[in-house]
Amino acid sequence: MPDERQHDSGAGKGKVYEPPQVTRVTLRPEEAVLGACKTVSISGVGSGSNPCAYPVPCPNPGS
Amino acid sequence: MCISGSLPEPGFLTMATTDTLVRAEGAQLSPPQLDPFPLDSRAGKRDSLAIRVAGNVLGLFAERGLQMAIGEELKQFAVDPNSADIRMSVAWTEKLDVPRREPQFDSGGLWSVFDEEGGYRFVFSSPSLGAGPYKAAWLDFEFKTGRLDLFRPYFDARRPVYPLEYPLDELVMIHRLARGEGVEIHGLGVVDGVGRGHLFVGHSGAGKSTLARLWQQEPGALILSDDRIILRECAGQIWMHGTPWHGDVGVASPQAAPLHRAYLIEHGSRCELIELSKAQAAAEFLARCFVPHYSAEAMDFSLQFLGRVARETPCFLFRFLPDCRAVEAICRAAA
Repeated sequence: MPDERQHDSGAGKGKVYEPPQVTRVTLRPEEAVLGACKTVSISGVGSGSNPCAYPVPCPNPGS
Repeated sequence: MCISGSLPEPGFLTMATTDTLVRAEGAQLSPPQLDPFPLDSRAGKRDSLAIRVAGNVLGLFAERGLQMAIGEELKQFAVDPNSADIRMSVAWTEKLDVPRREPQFDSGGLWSVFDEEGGYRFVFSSPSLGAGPYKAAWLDFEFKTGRLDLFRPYFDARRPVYPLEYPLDELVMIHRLARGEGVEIHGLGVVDGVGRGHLFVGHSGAGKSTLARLWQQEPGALILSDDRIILRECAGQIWMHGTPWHGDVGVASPQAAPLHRAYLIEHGSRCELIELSKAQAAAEFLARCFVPHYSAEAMDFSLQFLGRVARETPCFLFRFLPDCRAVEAICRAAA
């Protein structure tokens, strides 16, 4: 494998090496895992448009 | 200019032909006519049903005496149950237990999943109903066949039920997609007036509903969903598919379009588009996807797939104001 530095020091061609970078992103677990019911306007156990067959109001609003 | 209404005949293989999406000056979008099985005279009760989402047909086949129905918003996704490529039987049960072993994954909410007999067993429970589960689903590892048991005491058996109700419908779909088909993402999908697909990705509160309402005012624009979009590859292109799982705006469409641009959205003090690096875009989208996080294979595929999406699609951070300038900025930049 040719060394990147040899490329750079040669004819001035080639890509400059960029080390890998850690990218941090925000995850919302409660949304990501589909763990909770949706709001009343969205299809789901607690939905108004898709009435729930369960005997009590759903306590699990989610994404 | 706008996109015309319906897709060709049902079936994902025909999606390749949707690049024939007709451009018609001033034409109005007509609701897709994809429900060849309208609800019958028994007030919507029937013993089998199926929905097609992003090319996958999920069919339910109930035992005698179990009445099923689908909601209004699902009707345009309804197809012939005989065409199902994910087939699940549905039955009442008087006894439903949680397996006496550690789950493979516990969502911390409504569901947990266990390894069981050549497949997965999903168990659903709600604290409002008690400690026991209200339903359980077994699906084979390939997500082709399954069985769903509904705990009868928790249901009003006089009313028809929709056994796939959230989150089971999406769980089946994301597991199936993660087997090499695509990903479901938390986003708003819009096809603009000249047929370009724009995907606006964001957590709850990021502005998907706000943007959806703005796009609703744009002549010729078609919203595929204001909350859930499925990305799949077809004929060498990334396509975005509408889903029945809508957000506050309540828009859902079974149509699809090639993905032109993708945006990570957030509210801002002015409209601005900032190009994202490929790595940043893939990482941000992964954080807003619905994938089986407990499965190494699923995560590996999803990462690869989103990497491809990021490589092949211009991706931006889109900060916007909640007025018509947001739509103008997108159309101007895409032109």
